[in-house]
Amino acid sequence: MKPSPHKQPPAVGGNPFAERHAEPPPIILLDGQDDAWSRSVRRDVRNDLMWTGIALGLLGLMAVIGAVTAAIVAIPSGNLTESNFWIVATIVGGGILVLMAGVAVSVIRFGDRSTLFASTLLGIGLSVLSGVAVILLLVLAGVIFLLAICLSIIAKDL
Amino acid sequence: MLDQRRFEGMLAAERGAGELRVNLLRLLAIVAFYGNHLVDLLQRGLTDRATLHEGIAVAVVVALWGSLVAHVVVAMRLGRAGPSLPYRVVALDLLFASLLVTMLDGPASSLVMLYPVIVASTALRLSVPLVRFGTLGAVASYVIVVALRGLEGVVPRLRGIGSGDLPGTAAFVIVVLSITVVGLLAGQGVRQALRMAVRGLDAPSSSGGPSEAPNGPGAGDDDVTGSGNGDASTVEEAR
Repeated sequence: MKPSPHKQPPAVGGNPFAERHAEPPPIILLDGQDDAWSRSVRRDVRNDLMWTGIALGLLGLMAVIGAVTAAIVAIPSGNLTESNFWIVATIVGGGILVLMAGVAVSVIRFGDRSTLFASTLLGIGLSVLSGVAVILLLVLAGVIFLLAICLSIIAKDL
Repeated sequence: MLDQRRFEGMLAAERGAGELRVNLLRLLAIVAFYGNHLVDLLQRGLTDRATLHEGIAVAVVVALWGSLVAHVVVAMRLGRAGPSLPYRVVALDLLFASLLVTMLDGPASSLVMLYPVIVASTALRLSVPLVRFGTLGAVASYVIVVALRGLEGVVPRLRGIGSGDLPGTAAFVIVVLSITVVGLLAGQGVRQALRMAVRGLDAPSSSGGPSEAPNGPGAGDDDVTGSGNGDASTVEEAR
């Protein structure tokens, strides 16, 4: 039997750092087989993972577009109160989180645990940033709205 | 003679690959259904509060469903896909579908077609117990959704929990029968596939599959079907 290409060498000298950063086992263990059946399974798994990453990114984008569109449409119609504004901001953050999860799924094919954790942290950071960005945009919209009211009052006086 | 270990190894690999394929198809279905929902929402316009709440609620469910997809891949990649993974995933699929049916157009809407789709998806994991679990779970979920809608008129606390009409008796029976029949067909498909695989392995083979049961999801303690010893009985059953 051929040796598995996925097996990791043992940690040299019991180095805990090397052990911690050892790659996890492959997603489907075929034990290094290279017959037609295992090649077919490997090809399927590889393609599925790639398309899952792409589709997750697409879903994240759709969630972001949906939430932003809802916010944009709801503000002028007066349907967006302070309480559900936070829900919209959370959804935007969630959307970006799913987007980043898609990226994470794409990279874990090649990466190790640290890459996965880095992607997740990046996703959480971007979610927070997007939430802050939505708040700033809404504050800006509110200021413009107040200015418009003031201007209309001034215009009436004129 | 059938090499049972080799068979179990190949079966585990196919089940793991099936789990990933179902995961991808689930995600593509979510993207398609959510895209349709967004287009519908934009056409209707967010003119009232109820529509806005509906849009937010659906987005939350979709985000949770998307996270489930990511969780499955990450759990399998990190070797933490326990034997109960496919059961938990099917249960969550049914929960999310029931939430959507309850929050959107109710149990009389075309959204109940999601239940047979979930039952059909269980077949790709090549496990008869999982197909049984999915079928019974789908029927139970549908009955609960209908019961909640029916109780809304009786129990004041449940008022406003859902929307839409109650299905008629004939429509209710048709949906339950449809889910059951899809489950039966999926189960038979799995049984036939396993029987054919055992027949193929009974024949002399030179190439062979993995000689050891894999330690990834789908075998031994990490068996994706959670059948563990059930794999051995699967071989006998399939014979």
